[in-house]
Amino acid sequence: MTGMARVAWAAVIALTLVAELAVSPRVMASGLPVDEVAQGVFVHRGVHEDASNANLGDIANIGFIVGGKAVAVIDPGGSPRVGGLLRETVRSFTDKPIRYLILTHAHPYHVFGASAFAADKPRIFGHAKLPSAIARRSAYYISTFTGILGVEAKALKPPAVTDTVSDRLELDLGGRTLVLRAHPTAHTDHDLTVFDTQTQTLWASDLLFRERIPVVDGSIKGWLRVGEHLSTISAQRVVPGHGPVSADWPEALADQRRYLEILVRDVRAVLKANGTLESAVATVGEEERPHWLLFDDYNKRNVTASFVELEWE
Amino acid sequence: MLKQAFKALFGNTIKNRMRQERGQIMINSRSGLGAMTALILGLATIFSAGAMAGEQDERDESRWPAIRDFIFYENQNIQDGSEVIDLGVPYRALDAAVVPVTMKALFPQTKERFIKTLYLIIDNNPSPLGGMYKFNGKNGDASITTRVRVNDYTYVRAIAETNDGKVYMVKRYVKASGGCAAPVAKDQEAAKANIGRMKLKLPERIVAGQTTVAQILVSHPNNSGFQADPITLLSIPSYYMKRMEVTYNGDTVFTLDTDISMSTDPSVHFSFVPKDKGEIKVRVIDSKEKVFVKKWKINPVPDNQCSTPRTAEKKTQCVEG
Repeated sequence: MTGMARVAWAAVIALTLVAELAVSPRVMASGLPVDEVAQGVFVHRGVHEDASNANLGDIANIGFIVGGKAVAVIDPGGSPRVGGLLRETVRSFTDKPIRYLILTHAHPYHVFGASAFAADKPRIFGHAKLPSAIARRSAYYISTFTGILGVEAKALKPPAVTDTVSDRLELDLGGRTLVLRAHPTAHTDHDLTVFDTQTQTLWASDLLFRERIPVVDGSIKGWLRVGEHLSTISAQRVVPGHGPVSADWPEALADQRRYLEILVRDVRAVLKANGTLESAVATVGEEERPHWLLFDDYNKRNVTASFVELEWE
Repeated sequence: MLKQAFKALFGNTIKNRMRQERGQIMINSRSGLGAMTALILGLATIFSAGAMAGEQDERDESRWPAIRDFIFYENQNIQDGSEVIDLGVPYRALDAAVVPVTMKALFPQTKERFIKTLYLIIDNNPSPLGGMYKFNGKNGDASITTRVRVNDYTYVRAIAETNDGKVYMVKRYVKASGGCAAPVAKDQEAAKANIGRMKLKLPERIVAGQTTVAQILVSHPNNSGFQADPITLLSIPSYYMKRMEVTYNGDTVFTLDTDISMSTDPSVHFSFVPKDKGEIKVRVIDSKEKVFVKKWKINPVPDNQCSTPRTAEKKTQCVEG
């Protein structure tokens, strides 16, 4: 499949999903649409929207990798409902046990589906700082997302991480090794990536945003550094946290790098002129508007986060 | 503990205004926490079920009467403050962890009439009293800019108590942002690494006798202590800046009593009037009673020397600090 075809296909899937979920969630009995981007590597693309009652928090890329003996789910999705649909999808492809649940970070639309896998009793993997991040953020996420998703608070359970990764960990799915890597602060302070050695697939999750504007919730300078590190990894394809899977690696990183570099450059200029946070928010990043979806929802927040980070320089 | 808590927070005068039943709530709250947290835990007890996004009416003010009665005399007349204080806060909080707030005094501060105390209230935060700033009328301008956490859709209030005992209030409604912008430190480790480090930002040109705006930044995680580990249900300890004292040549510029509503790495823009050359001293006390002190030399130029625009080269001669 060509890159364009893949984009188009994913867009069709996304639109279909939203329409069906919005009209009648129950018609999705067979689960979520997924794309087998490489042998045994299945990706479901979330929509480029903020989480809502209509999309059930299905706004991030999630999926699973099937090995010889076991299945690893990478991010169970933004709500128990989405997690449940993903589980049905896994079951429609394989009967192998779902032994591992890998959480790339604590953001709600990546983790709230975890409770749907409780019956599988999976080991739950995350960055060494993930448990702390979940602890600090869950109460806020639960209170916010009950309103957004229109569910009861008790329906949203923060996942209980069983295994943490402080540097690197190899996970054997039976003749197929996944390399989990914990990164220094970047998109968040607890980002984890997955590398499938068999197909040379880098599952970057939210360390890579495509089409949808990146969200700085860790460190903008750290993210640029981690991006440089990721770009040295030799991969056949990359799975971003948002946007289409790409076979162009590390070229697929270029847009994100450009945006982050512009923020750093222009926030520094405001700081140098003794400008205020408010003045930075009003001006910085505007030239990037045509390149990103949801620009108005996140650019100013990114400028704010960058400003308070860079003012210590 | 209770007496100390009240004294630290409100001083003896206001302490006497507090009603006994509110004190009981504080006694029942966790021991060993700072005064502000004790106050807020008291409020949290009253409103244990409150403050969930999506569960509230827009423009909810249900917490305000209790907050008001906690801080002021019962029946305190609170007047419209639109001639006294301006409150600048974004209608939508872009980043719930860092919401800029500016409280601007709208009349000249003189020894005859000045804002003595400026309260920043965030109704629906777990800790509604975001800060209590005290002035003495000598620092030129009682305006303050700071950054706070906003947990939820809420009114934010600036309340000014003038030296004649009158109380004025303005309020603005703020919508917290959903999604991933949790009101926590983005990088916990970095926030802890440099605790107590400070940075003072001064304008390029400081002129003797003129009101000068400076920004003080304090590195501190300012963890709230309201979060609990979802598995162990043990709460993560709070750790925050509770007091800041700023002096110029020994004279108080302002003091701030605060707690967990301030953003990670607390920031305050404030005014002072440097009459002679001297020293700004900032003293910060955190909830573990750690004290951090830093001083900066200020060498203002005489009023006549730098009062007119100069070339960039000459301007540098007017810079000090």
